[in-house]
Amino acid sequence: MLLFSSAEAVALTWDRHGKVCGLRLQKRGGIMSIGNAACCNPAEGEPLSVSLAKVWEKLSPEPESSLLLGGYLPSAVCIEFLMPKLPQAELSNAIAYELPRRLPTPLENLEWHYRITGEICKNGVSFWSCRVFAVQARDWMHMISEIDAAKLQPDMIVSPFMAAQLDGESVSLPGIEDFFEMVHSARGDTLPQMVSSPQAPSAPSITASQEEKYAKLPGWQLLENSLPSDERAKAFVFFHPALLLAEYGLRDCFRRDLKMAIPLPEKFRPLRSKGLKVACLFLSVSALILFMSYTGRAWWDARSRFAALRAEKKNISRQIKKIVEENTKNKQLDLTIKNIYGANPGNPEILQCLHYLSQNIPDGMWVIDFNSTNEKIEMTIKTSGEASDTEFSALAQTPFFSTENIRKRRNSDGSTDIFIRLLYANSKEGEPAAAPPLPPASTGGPKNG
Amino acid sequence: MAELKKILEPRKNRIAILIVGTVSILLIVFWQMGALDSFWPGKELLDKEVTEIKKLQGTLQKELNDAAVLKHRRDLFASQSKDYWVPLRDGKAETEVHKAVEQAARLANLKLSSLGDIRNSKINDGLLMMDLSISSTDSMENTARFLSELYRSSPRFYWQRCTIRPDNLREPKNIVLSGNLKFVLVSDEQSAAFLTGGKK
Repeated sequence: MLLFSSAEAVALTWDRHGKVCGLRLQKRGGIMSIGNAACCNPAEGEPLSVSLAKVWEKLSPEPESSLLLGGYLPSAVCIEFLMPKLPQAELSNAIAYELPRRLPTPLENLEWHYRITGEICKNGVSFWSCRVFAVQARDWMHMISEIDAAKLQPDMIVSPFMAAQLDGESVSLPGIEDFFEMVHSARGDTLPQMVSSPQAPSAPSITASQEEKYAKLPGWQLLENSLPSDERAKAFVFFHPALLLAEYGLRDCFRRDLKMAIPLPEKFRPLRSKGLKVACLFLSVSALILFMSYTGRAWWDARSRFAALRAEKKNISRQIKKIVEENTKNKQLDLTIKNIYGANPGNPEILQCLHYLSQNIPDGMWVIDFNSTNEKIEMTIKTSGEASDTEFSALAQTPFFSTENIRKRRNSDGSTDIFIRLLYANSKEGEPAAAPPLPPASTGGPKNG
Repeated sequence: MAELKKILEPRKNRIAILIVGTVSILLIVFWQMGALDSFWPGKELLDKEVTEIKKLQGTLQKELNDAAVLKHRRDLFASQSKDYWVPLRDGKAETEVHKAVEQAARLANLKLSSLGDIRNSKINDGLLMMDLSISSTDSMENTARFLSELYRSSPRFYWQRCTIRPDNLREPKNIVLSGNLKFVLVSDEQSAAFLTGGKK
C-alpha cells in the first residue's frame, strides 16, 4: 500500500482513433518498473469514456496512485519560450500577455497552463524556459465530459508533449499528433519547438536511445502482453505517450506543476484521505510506542522487583545463617551458664537475711536459733509472754520470704517458743536467687538473747 | 478481504506471517507454562517471593529473639565474673580459697574454730561445685562483720547450711556460727575464657 508518496503513477492516453493505452509505473528505491498495462481498441461507435473506464479497471491501480490523462485533442498545442525569472503569479500574467502574440486564438477561448522546464542563461541573464500547453475551451470541455462519464478522477490532463524530457532528442507521438513533433537540438542550445513532422503519420520515428531506455524497465513484457499479437511489435509506439506521462507523474516537479495546471472540476479531485491516513499512522505509531514503552516499563519493573526480592531473600537468608551460626556457637556457653544457675549451691544472702529479720521481728522477742539450709530458713524465736500471729505479719508480707509454717510451744516458765519456717520466695529458675536489699552498713544481726 | 488477499499473495509474506504466528504461539505457550518467568516474572512468582521473604523474616525475628536472650544471659554471666572461681585467673582453689576465708576472718577480728578441706562435686564437664565447712564462736558483732567480709569477697560464697545460735541459752556470751560454704569453680575453657576475657 502506498500511503504517503505517489510512488506509483497511472497514465491513460488515447489516440485520434479512440484507442486507449494505460499503464502503471512504479518507483521503488529509485528504480522504475511497469506494474501493469492495458490497452483497449474501441468498438464501432463506442465513446472514449467507455474505453477509458475499461482500461482503468484492468489496471486496478492503488487508490493513492497519481493519475495523468493525455491524448489526442484536436486543437491542442505545445510551445516553449523564454520568460524572465518572475514569481509564479507574475509569471502567469506575463505568459498570458505573451500567448496572444504566439497563438491565433483569443485567450478567452483557450484553456492553458505552463510548466517551467529549465533555466537558460542568455547573454549573462537567466531566463525560465516555459513550456505552455493550450487547447481550445470547447475541446477541453468535451474531454472533461468524457472523463466524467468514465468516472475517473485525474490529477492532471495534459498533452504528453508537456511531459516529455527531451534532452536533445525529438519526440513524435503518432496517433496523437501526426503532423507535428517536438524537436530539440542535439546540442541543447535552443528551445524545444513543435514543428511539422517530415515523416508520414503512419511511420513514427523512435530513436534507439528512447527504446533502449524504456525496454530496460522491469515489466516491459506487460506492455506487449496487453496488446493483440499483431500489434505487439508496436508496443513502444502505443505506450510511448503513457510512459512519458507516467514518468512525469513520478518526477518531483509533477507536484509543483500541479499548482499551475488547468484547474479541474471539484468532483475530479481524488479522495485520497492522506491527512486521515497520516493521522492514522501517527496514532498507530504513537499507540505502538506507548504500548512498547508500557510493556518495557512493566517488564523492567517486574525484573527489578524480582531482583530486589531475590536480593532481599538472599540477604535475610545470609543474616539467618550468620545468627544461627553465632547462636550455635554460643549455645555451649549458654548451657554452661544454665547449669551454673541451675546448680543451686545455696543461699548467698545470709547477711541481708539476718538484717531483714532484725528489722522486722517484733520487740520483746529473741532469736535463739537460726538455721538456713539452701532456700529454707528455720528459726526459733522466744518470747516472755503470749504471741499472736499478727505480730509476724510483717514477715509474711515481705516479697522476699514466704511463711511456710509457724508453730508455738508454751513453756512451763510462761515463755513461748515460736518455730518459724520461711522460704525464699523469689528464686527464679535459670538465674541466681535475688536477695533482699543490702543494708547500708552490714553490721546488724538477729536479735539474740 | 481483497486487501488481505493482496498482502498474502507474495510467498515471502506468507512465510513471514507463518513465522511470526508460530513464534507468537510458542511465546504464549511458554508464557503459560511459566518457562518465561525468569525473563518476565509474573505476579504469582512475585507474590510467592514476597511470601517466602515474610516467612524468612519470621524466622529471622525468632533467631534474633533467641540471640537477644542468649546475649542477655551472657551479659549477666559476664557481669558476675568475680562470683566464680576461675583457676586460670584466680589460682589453685584448694589453697587460695582458704586464704580468702581467713583474710575475711582476720578483717572481722573473728577467730575461726575450724576451716575444713575443700571438697568438690561435679556439676558438669568443666564445672565443679566446691564445698568447705566452717565454724566459729565469737561476739555477735565480729560474726556479723565476718559475714559481711565474706559477702564482699571473691568468689561468691553460698551458704548451703548456716546455723547461728547462742553459746549458752541462759547466759549467752558469744555466737556460734557453723555451716557449709559453697562456691562454683569454672574450669571449662570456653567459659573460663569468656569470664576472664569479658564479652565475646
